[in-house]
Amino acid sequence: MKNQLGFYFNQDNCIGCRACEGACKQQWNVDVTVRYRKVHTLEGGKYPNPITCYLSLGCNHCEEPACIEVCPVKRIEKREKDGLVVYNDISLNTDGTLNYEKVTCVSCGNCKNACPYSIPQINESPSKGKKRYEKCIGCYPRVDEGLKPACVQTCLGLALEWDKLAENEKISGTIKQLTGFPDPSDTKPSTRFKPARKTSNDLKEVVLR
Amino acid sequence: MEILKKEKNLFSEVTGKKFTRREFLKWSSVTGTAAIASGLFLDNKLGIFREATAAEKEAKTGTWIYTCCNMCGGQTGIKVNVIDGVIRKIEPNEHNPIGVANIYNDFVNEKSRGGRMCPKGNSAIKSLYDPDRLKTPMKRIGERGSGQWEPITWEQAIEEAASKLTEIKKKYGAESLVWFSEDHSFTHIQIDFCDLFGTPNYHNHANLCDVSRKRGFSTVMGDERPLADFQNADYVLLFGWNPLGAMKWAHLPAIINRGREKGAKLVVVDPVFSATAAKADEWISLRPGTDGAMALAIGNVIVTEKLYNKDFIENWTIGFDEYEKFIADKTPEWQEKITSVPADVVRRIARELASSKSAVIDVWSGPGHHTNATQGSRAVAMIPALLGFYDKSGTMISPDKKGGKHIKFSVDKSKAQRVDGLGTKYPFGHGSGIYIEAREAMLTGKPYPVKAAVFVFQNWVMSVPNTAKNLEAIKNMEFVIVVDTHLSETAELADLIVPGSNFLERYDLNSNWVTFPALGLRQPVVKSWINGMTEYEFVKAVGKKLGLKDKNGKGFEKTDEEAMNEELKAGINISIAELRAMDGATWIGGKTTYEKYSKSAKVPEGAVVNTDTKVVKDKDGKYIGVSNGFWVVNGFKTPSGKIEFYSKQLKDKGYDPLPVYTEPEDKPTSEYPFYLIGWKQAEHTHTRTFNNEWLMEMKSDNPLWMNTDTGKKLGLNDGDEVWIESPISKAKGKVHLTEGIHPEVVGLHHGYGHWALGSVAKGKGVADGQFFPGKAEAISGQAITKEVGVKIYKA
Repeated sequence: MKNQLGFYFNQDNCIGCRACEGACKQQWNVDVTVRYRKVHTLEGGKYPNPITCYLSLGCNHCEEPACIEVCPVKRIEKREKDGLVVYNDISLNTDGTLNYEKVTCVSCGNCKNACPYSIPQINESPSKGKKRYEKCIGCYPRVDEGLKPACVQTCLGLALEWDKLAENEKISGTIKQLTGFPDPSDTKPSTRFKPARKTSNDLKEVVLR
Repeated sequence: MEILKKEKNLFSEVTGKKFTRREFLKWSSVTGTAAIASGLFLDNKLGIFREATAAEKEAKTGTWIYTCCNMCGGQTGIKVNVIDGVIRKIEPNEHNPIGVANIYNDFVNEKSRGGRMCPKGNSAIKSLYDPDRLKTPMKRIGERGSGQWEPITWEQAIEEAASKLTEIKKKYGAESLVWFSEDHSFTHIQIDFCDLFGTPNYHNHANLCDVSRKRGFSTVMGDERPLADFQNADYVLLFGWNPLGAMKWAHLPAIINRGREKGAKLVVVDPVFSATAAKADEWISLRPGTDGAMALAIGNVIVTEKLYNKDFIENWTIGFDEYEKFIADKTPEWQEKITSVPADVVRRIARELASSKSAVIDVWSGPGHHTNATQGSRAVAMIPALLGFYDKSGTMISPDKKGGKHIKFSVDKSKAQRVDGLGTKYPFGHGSGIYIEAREAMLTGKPYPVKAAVFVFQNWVMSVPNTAKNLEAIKNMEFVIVVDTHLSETAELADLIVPGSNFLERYDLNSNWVTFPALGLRQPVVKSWINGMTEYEFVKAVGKKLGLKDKNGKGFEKTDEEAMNEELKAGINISIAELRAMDGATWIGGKTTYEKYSKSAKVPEGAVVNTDTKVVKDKDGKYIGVSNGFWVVNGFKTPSGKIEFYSKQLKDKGYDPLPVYTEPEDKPTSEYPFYLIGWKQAEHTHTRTFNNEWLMEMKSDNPLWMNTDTGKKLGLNDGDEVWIESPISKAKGKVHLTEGIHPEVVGLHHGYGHWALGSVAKGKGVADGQFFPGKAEAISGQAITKEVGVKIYKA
């Protein structure tokens, strides 16, 4: 897709602070338990040479999204203009919040199961609207106004960037897959990476530290 | 269909674009934003899109107000979107350097890329609108700590505070009141209150934070808080500082990463593999509190191998000969036994530093919270002195700090000495006081009785090391006022609880911690939804009720805005209205200046030169500069006007004039074999953000970090429940086995373990403060929050 937009994650700059999670939270007033963006912490190596690195992931706005086809109510769409993968049953209120009144989701979980990155998350008891799956929408309302996604705007470590995929691919040292990130050949995710300068083969995700 | 036609017409009219049904459907169902972006909005009555009027646009999309964050003490510049009196979103303010860069040129170059905000600022809305916030003043009706309260009016609260404080003053004297608060926030009104009330016993947060660093640097190079120019440094050596976790200022991650991108080498010395160590080229793991020994050995290598900057030492330092003699036996091999850092590593780092074009060499609250902290900080502060790495690009820079000027009331100094020994037992203590000694006085009534305590915006029980003593000390009081946003562990023990304000509801001036003069305005963005007073207003109201006046009959007449206006006028000669109108409500007063010590000083009339030291002082004895025989230069603000390897002022007060290494007092023992330390991470501030549901979603617990091999020896698996036991307290927690901690050390992220504060905070994690004996460091009076031995066993 020619104008496909996507995230660029510079793992070498990510400090794992979760500012991106917070910015996303307030941008869309996301309910607790659902995280459109999530920072994963990976530990490896051996004392005194340990490795800790992070992987901050929202939706990868894949070129061939697996979630769209498996949705029985066809509520997921890929925008023609920029390839962002968004919901057609969640609209935007004029105050900039999301409107969930017409959600058609049947909570089957197909989208989550089909997604190699398990990005869609169930919102069991939402503060507004009915139970549904939700995920990062690439901040398309901001993007349409010429702004960067909220997570990119706030990123403390200059780790998250946002541009056309074609531009991101031109950055020297760009790669398509980081340790901990599933095989990209499946759905062709639009996220690109710069790896941390120190890494190891034995990285494991640590949930609480 | 009729409406669709209207839509079509209106659409092409407004946008000049062709309209297709498919396009419209897509817009209305999927985005809707395109309409907003082009100034269209859905008119509910007509059911069509039409151009919004300016007023309608503002009503829907609100206004943006510039202010400063106060989720921590960093004061990041922010802008706040308010729609119909409610905050919709907070975003970074690129006009305020806090969040952009701390060097003027970097700030100018980078501001177009925007400011930055940390997870706490991004979650501030959840603290503001936290349903657990205190909403009305409350008076204790049961036993202290029984949890029985009677809600009272604000007027009653003011009356109650005033009458009880009058009674205390009459019975025991004004000095029997001790006062504790956060720093950076509405401190002036509290200091004024204490001055007029007549108690010398005002304390604030700095004593729990970085006063040992302050004293370390100020006794060496005359500045309490030199700032690291990370972005332009060739080499960065950090002792126990975690600016990428305990980030302090929101621009730190960006300037460190820009420095790394440019090729700076980052070396982090820390017992724990912190967020900063994780980004370092080299992590030096060492025993807690031994950093001073490693710093001395670096000095030893630089001196014995003659790698130092001879010119700089000759021109700008004193006491090098004494230091050279002293350091002769502090070899890398000597420090290896103390620190566990291999001698060859220290030797290599010393050589690398000496061959660097520029270097940041800094130390904060890791070694800073140990019983040997000030001398350890001094040992570190002397490394840049050897290499001339002060006040130059890419080094430690003395900030040119300007801002509002606190206009104090004219009162006679209290006849009573401070109860905490500041100025007497602690001649090198800091104005923030000595918390540990004040607590001792609350417990013992010595050197004189303390009968009342006021705690403002500070959860004292959880913040001061040795929780049991804190509880006992408060229970000893006859009258306790707590001003806080939440029913904290401290508030639970109060006689009078007064709801605090959120930073988005109040004023403050924030003279910025960057290298050039800058100041940001904090201003009320929304009205208090609890209909509360701000801390300023409450303290002022109690002062007024007490009828407090100074010698000129002046009292608490000014509003917050008027007082700030006066301070601004006196400090930097602008009005609050002018400040508010500046880009991002931020004043920028100049550029970063370098090598200020060699620049000529402005010498006021009546200044006197000391013939021995050549130091020039004004007629009030304030340091002006140092004479070089021809003219007066700024020099360094030490007693000699130069960097002091040997400190006569310390010697005169009975301290060692050289940066001696002494063992930490509360090291592990055979019974309590592990060092316990604490630290901060990006998601939380002190002990006060733990009822914020977004921050707690990010980090809800604080497992005990332990080295994997150590854990295996104890038969522990990752996630096991363990007992953490120090000589004074024990508690159960989960263990996280990791390669990222020294094998002799265990540690906890500070701030968890609340039994009050709110429904979100309660019962999550382990409080680290309970384990530490709670001592004060001998020179600076710093509260010691990272030093004790513990034993760990399966629960």
